[in-house]
Amino acid sequence: MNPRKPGGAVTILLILGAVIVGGVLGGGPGAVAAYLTTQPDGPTAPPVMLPEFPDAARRYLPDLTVAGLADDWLEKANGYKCSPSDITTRRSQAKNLMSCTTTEAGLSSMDVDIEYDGDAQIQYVSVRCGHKPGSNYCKTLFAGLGDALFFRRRELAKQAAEWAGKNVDGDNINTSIGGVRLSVDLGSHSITAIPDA
Amino acid sequence: MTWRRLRFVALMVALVMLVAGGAGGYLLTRSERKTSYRASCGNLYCIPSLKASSVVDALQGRGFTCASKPSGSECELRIGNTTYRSRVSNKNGLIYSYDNSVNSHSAGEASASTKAFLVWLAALPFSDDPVLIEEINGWLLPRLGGGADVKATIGGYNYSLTALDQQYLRLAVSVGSR
Repeated sequence: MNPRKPGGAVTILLILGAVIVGGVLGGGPGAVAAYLTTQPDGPTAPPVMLPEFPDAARRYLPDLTVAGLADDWLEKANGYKCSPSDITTRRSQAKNLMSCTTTEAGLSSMDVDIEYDGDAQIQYVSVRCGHKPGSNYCKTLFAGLGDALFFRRRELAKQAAEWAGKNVDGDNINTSIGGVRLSVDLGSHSITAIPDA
Repeated sequence: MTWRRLRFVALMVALVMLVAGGAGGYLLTRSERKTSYRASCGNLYCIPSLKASSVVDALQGRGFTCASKPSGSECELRIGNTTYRSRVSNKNGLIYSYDNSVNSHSAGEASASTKAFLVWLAALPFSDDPVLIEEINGWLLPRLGGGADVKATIGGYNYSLTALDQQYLRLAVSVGSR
């Protein structure tokens, strides 16, 4: 065999070696470069929100104004006295508090609290009745709230007034009518209205 | 073929393979990375490409109040007796975990708002993948009725739902650590 000329097997082995060495030396750094510089494809925006997704617009009792409750229902129709309160504690996150109380002699401790941001932005209404369970004063007052809450949605007013009158002496019970959560508590003998989330 | 010529040919072959191997390795790894479910962000893993700020913006668009914290943002909205909270932790602008809760103070089935809130959050890593969204909703919705705390791995992400008490639902999602 002539040492000046490589054999067939040697030629094939050498070429194969070149292929493997070149491939490994190139492929390794190539892969590392890609790993370091490439970020995966992902979402470019959050998903679409359903209409029911929580919205700050629903923080307020729908179609209700402070004037409608305080002026029309309590002061004009029932002779209550209403005034903005300095008390800073709130049951809701509202900025303002309007307190209304009866002025009729002998009918003490019937109070209405309205927590609100603006006139049409009521977050919480509470009616407290100091009379004993079974009193018709409380029944009339609670039913009156049920009616007044739906001043602009008359189709629901009857249902709300009936529920509030019937459950005036109920304890820790609640219902949801037209996006409003009504709750009666016997301990404080009160009925409250908040938006139903 | 002489030895000299063979050496030359072998060198050329090695050089061509070096370039071809480099390109091949690069392209293969790149396509593999592109379809991975998690991106690198510093020393952590994150949701790919979805900016934490776009999530916070979307919540603020619905009237959530958001505050900046060292690890991210905390958003909150209260409606009646229900408080919705979301804490989004980010690194380099990408989300590595987020933790959400609904405190409703009321028993019974989760409200439509609660479902809409949690379903949206659960789908954050997959808003471009309807199949995975369906899978996660199929896991999440039946469990919002309460009664158990559960964990699952979906699309590579760790989901943890606290629902022992229906009045307090919590959904935590993380991408996992290195």
